[in-house]
Amino acid sequence: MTAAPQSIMPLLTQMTFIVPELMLAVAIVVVIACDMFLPREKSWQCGWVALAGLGIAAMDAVYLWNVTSGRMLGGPARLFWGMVSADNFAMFFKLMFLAGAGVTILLSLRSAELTRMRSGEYYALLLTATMASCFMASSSNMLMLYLALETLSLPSYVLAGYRKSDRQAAEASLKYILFGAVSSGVMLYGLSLLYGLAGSLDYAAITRIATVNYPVFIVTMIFLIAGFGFKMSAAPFHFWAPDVYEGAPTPITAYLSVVSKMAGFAAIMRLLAPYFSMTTIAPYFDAARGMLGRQFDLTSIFWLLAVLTMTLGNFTALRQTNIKRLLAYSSIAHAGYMLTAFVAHNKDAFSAVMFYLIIYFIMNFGMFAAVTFIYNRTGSFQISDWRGLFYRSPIVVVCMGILLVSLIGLPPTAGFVGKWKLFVAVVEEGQRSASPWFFYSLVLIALANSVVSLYYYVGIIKQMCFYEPGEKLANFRFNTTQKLAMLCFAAPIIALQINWQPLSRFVERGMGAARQAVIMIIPMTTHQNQTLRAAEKTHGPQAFDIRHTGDHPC
Amino acid sequence: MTIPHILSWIVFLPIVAMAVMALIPQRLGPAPVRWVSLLTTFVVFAFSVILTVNFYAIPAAERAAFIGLKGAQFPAGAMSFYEERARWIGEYNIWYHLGVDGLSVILVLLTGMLSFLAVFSAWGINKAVKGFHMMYMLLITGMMGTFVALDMFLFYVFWEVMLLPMYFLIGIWGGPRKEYAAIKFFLYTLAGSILMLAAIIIIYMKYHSFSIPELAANPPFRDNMALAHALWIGFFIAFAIKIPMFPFHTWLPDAHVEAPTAISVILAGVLLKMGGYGILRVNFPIFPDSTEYFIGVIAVFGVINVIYGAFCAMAQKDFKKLVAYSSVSHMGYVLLGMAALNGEGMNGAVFQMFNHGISSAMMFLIVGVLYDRAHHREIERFGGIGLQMPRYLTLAIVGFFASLGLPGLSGFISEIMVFLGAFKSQSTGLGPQAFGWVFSMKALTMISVLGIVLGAAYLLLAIQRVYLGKSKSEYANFPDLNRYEYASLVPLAVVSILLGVWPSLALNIFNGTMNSMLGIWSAGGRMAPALLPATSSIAGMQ
Repeated sequence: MTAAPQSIMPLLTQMTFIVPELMLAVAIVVVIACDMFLPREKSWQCGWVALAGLGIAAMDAVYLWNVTSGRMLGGPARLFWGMVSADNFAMFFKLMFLAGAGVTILLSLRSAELTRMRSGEYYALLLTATMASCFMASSSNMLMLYLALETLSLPSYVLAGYRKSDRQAAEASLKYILFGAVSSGVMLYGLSLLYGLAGSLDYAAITRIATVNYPVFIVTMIFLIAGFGFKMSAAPFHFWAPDVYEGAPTPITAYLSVVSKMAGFAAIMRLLAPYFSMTTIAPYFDAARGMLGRQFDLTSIFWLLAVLTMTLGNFTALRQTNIKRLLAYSSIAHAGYMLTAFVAHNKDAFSAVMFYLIIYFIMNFGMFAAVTFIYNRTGSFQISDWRGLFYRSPIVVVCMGILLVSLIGLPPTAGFVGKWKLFVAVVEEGQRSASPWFFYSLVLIALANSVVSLYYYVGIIKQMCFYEPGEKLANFRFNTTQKLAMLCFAAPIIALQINWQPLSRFVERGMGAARQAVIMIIPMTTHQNQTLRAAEKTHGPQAFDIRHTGDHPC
Repeated sequence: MTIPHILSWIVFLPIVAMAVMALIPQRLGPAPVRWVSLLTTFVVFAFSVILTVNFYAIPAAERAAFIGLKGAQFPAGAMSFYEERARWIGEYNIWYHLGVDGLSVILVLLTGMLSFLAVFSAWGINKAVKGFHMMYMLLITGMMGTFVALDMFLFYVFWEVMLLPMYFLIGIWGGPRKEYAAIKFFLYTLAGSILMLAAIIIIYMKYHSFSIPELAANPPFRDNMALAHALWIGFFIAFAIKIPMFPFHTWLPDAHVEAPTAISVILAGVLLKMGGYGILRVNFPIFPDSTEYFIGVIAVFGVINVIYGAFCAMAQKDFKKLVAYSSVSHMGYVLLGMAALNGEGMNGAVFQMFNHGISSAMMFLIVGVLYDRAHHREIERFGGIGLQMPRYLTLAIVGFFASLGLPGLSGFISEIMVFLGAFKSQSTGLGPQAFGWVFSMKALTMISVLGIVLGAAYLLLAIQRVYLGKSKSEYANFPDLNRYEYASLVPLAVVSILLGVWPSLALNIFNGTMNSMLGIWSAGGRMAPALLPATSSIAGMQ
């Protein structure tokens, strides 16, 4: 790898790597244009236009997936003066986002909440948010990241309140904006600290200040985590989630719970990959020494964050009666499970998160699809109105049961495999570490949490199976499309328990490229660190002012 | 007769049947589903009988091989029918590894028999028949899989697969407090099994193997006894909840009472055995040092189970709850027998598992017969049933006496073996130096012998109140047993009497296996007692 990360490719060639995003930008314009020519009652047809745009973008992303595997280009590249990475890690998430947006659009087309509403701008906003998510997964500069994050947030605020006449939707939107503004402000403050210290907003700057000034690094990370935590709905930045999930149209709830969360995870994984791949980090913090026999460092923060998030999510979900609020808390809990990987922070842990995200994608979209279908007929989000659903449609309820069991994480479902991979990675780190119980205790807490989650997930199954159908389900039935859709969500959940290796390999490809990208950054920074250490020996501590040694992408 | 892949057939045939049932159209009514269920369980039972017969046919020396000791190195050729091994998930070195030794064979036989007989008792279920039998099939797969899996990951998957159908079977087809009982059962078992999962992951990350035989051949964490003890406790709690051992037993009365009769039979007959099986398959061979360390704890809890379960049973007004608590009491003997760690004790423990499977299944069926007619289970309200239903009385007496350990019936043999084993055991109780003789094995045995008296007390009292006395008018028109009830009760009575007079028929299956398992401790361990040769301890019994 060359020392200069800026690609020597001409700008036009660099553009080819963001064709999916460009396609989405074109699709946004086309959707808005179509909306102008369609009467209000036919404006839902914009959904198909948006879907076509997503399809083209996805095809290109698949093509680029092969390109960035290094078969044709000979390695990943950082484009546009280090703003954007083009690697399999980014392509992996782009594919997931595009698929997620596709499912969201299909659900929107079938949702009774959105009929008789002008839907051109709805789909345009959805595509904008998706485009921003794609940039979020591939950005390798803080500024780019912040722009992507905001571009994702703004359409989300509007979409959350899309049912304008509904009081709850308005409340959801306002809450979302307030929490979003605060957390992005906090994050921005963290960025300013980072820039002041490192003189750069490049992701590599993180590793630099980590080696130079650990306490400030921790403080900066806490600020940054506030921004990511908001997207991931990790406690204590989760307060928006239940209200927004409840007030937003169900397809948008699904979108927020999957795509938006994934974008947060993608960004923080890329951000921290260089830091976590450093072999020796000497924590400078001795103040809180002794947390389960381990010095306080970034992993301790993630330990606390993970435990808080999953415990809070699961225990609060126990009391929910509204399915959307329940799934909101469940998605908080799942963010907690995935955060355990940042405690383990090894290669297996990161690929476990990516693996888990795919399964989470299937489970959550499956559940929200069911919620949409049932709402269409009953007009209710109360779990008690699902009473006796089994006796109306056994097939769909079996599919939902499979998804719920998978959310608990019991075999024989993919949810078990996802948890398995996560916890194995954590235990693996524990056995390498001098303080294994720091890691073992995390696994035990997470497992205990899945026992807690059993209670409310099974509570849904109980409502559906143990009682006679209520009056809301008097003439209830699913149509064939809905049955097929639910089967499509449930089948992979079982299939992945029988053999999950193909998916593992897919994830490894996505991960492998990300590691290459990391390797590309590391020589540069370690070289600079060596220079710094040498300077420190000769010139004293002033040499730590690394603003003059770093390269300035911005 | 050798059937290729017989273990896979036994495990997965019910899944095939499940698919078949799903395809049976609703308009044909419940009858075809019931017949498919009966046919499948019959084939599974037949296969398990074939497996047992084949197991008998191999030379005694090979039959004595304990999987945990011999590893995968069974003599090739003749053994092929009882081991199946294929790579499953290469990423984690997970194998699809099934295999049986004497310990598994006897429990597979028990499972096959009870799941077949329970179908007769489930014949009368009319609510969502298809769903019931599909769940029942999945349950059989989970149970059979647990008894034959030799890869810990596979073992765990089967262990959990069994939970979900059980939850539905109790929760949908159960009694008045079915929701509570079902979720309690689910939460208890899952809470235990997550400890097992954590232990499995920790072992795997160090040794990169899930193979029970391999791990037993090279016990893990011998250099880190604290961790080994922690893992032992993790596994043990998971299994102890299933047994159920004293502080974890409270799910059992609820689940047993609320479950429909057929499912109570499976719960008491098979599920409780999974706990005992797990301890003997995982805890004992994989952590021999920790087992030795904690052996006194097992013994003490076993005695608590015996006495506490018996007292609880005595206090019950509900007939089914009485039977449920008698299970707690009887599984205490299994724990005590294991803790003896000698030939009589271990063989007695396994035999007690089998016998309890027979006798408790019989007792639940007996209670079920009565409940179907009277629609209540209050012991006080019955009386004089024996006069109305003499044939039923006969079978009920056999079942009850088998349970209380009357000589001539199978329960007697296993209980006396446990007592003999425990009394002469070299195991330390709860630290002899600290408590003197009070907690020594001899003292514990003498206390637990009281369980026999208590057992006789509550069972005879129940017989007296329910079956004897003057006949009551409200029960005057009760018909005697119908053919489904005969079909499920008579075979169990026959087995009970047969094994009571000819115990070596069953003992020979696992006797060698258990004795070679004891070789773990006698080989070079601290407690190298005068272990009896492979068969002599049994020879005395016959």
